[in-house]
Amino acid sequence: MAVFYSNALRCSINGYRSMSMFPKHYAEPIKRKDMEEFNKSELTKFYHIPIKPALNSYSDTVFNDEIKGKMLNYITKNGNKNLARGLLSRTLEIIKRAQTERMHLSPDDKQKVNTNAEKILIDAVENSRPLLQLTSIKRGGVNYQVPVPITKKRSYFLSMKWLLDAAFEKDNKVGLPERLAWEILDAAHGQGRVIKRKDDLHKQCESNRAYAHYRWS
Amino acid sequence: MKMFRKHFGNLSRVSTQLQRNVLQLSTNAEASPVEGTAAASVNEFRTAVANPGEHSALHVAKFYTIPVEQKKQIFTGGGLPKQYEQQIKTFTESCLMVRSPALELLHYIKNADLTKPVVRYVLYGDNGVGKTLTMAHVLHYGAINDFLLVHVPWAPNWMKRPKEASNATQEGMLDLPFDAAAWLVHFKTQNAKLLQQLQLKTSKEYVWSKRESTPAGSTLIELVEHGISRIKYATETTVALISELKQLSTAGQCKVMVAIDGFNAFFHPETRIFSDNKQRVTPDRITLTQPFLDITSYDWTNGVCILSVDKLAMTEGYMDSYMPRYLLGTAGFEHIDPFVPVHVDNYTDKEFHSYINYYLDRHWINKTPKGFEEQLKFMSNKNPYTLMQLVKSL
Amino acid sequence: MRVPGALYAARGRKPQNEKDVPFQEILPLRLKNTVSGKADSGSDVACLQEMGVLFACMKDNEFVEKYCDKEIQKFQNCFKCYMDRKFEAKKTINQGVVQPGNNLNYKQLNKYMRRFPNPL
Repeated sequence: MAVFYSNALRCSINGYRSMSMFPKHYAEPIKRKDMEEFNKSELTKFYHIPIKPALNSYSDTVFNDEIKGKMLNYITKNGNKNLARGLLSRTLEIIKRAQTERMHLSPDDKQKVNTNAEKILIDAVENSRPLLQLTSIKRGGVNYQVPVPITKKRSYFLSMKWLLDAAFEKDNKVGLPERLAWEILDAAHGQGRVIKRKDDLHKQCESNRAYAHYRWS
Repeated sequence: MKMFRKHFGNLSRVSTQLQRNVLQLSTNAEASPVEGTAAASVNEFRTAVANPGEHSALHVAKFYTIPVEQKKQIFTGGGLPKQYEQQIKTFTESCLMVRSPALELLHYIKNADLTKPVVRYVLYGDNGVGKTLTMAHVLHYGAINDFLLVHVPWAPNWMKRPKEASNATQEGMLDLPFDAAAWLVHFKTQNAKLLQQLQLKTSKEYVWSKRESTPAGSTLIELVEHGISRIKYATETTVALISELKQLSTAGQCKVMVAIDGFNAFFHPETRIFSDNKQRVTPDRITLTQPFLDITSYDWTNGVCILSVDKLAMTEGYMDSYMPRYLLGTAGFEHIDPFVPVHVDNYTDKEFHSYINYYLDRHWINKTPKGFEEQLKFMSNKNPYTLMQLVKSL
Repeated sequence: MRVPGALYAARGRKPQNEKDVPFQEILPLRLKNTVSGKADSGSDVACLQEMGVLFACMKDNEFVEKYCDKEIQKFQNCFKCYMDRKFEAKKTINQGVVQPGNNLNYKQLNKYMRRFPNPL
């Protein structure tokens, strides 16, 4: 606790507030197993630098993937990551099962069916990323929906959120993994609700393009 | 030789990996020239010998395919784990790996003197090491080599989740009519062809009620069909059928292969079935237990008994060890006392490698970064079931 | 027609005596030694033209992104450049290095003025 206060104090002296409890000169931990590949000289510079502790979600398995990890975090509710992990792996399993079966049953165009569930997930997320979004801006007592460009990070967030929303919206009789799997498969093929939602947003942005110069902040 | 094989195995993995990468790249492209390499790598972990009787140490860690009709005949009513069935459906082929416990068992069975009292073989091992699949392999052998199969896919189902329990005619006993009927259907699908061929007859008249009876000299098929159509008498029919089978095989008219998965359920301290006075019933008060205990005793000849003991057949508090003595208890152990234990273990390195190759061939593992196999080996501890779970989402 | 108030002065209220209303210095009568940073944030409207081109293309192709790759690329590059520039600007502001010139941001101004405060 004392460390925290002293750090916070130091941060405020420097004139900025950081969200991290560690000051800026703390180095990021290295998330790699093969430390032998590092140069000795490269490592020497870490000798006297304080290093942040590693997050407990860091993983060095070869099966790790950034988008998968993000998706996992978005599925998580109430910190129950274990459950979320199970749901996501079940989702990927369903996707892979469907695709593998399709591939084995259609011998002529075997090469065309993609059985890599993770790749399909990434495709789906990429396909449903929006380019713009609408923000509400008040001008003369009237709220205008103004199209503004969005950052890359937010577009990824929105696309994953929409996928999950669509999955949650569906009929409650089947489990989440099934629903999510079908949404992802749809989105990966450029159809389905999520893609429609994105297109709707784009259309609305287009019809509101006259307000674009109202953008303020 | 071993070194060479290992080396060659690595080569084949590389080739499969290459093939994988090409595939990933050419998801949209037209056909790529990988068919040749695929055909070459197939022989590495597959064998064309589909008859379990001909399997030898040469085929260890290789996959053989069960023909579709035979699979339908033997495993329609159960016998393969549910998830394995799912895998078969996904891969659109029913493959089993030839493993040493099954080979050991087959070796014993082939060299056994059938005129002597039946030998009981007990499969044991930790959770998910492949006891049921070993049994499936041997069942396939039995079905091909004219054994009448008396196969209970998973005995704990009767003790843990019966469809319906009703009072039997005997005082204090409970009947599971639906489960008994289901088992009769299973018996019929497995043995229909053989029963037609052998034309086995009943030795005495069975009187079910005032009006219904099966006369002496009617075929076993009639007996079974009666049990299926009159569900009320299904259990009694099962008892009759099994005692008939024992007599017939002792007389040398047929060979019988008994295979009971989760045999220790018959000796569990209690079941989940409640009697009329709301008390848990012990397995020996279930009428269905009797015939199967009867057929596993050694007082008949011309047959083999393959039993498996499983931790999962027990309930909580009784699952400390997978050893037969612990799981069967004193009564169970004494019941099958002179028996041949067959230990089923986790994969060996070779089997593991072969399985990974099979998964790669079936496009089930799609991510093949450097060192993935070692990692899977480490994470699964080479346990078949754990490996299956891990690989599911890759 | 508006009538000047002076005409009615005799009948109306007397002008107040200045002595009756003593002067109070509510705010100090000199400039502060700091300026606020509000004016520097400026307008945020960027990439309007690219957005227009993108909209035109999207409308022509019925909102299929595949056909507007070039426009999308341009638009996103523009926005990225804009954000980068903003980020860099903020960084230099936060550093607060004072350099000679007339185009100073608020931090630099504040530094200057702290050095030469208004006399009390």
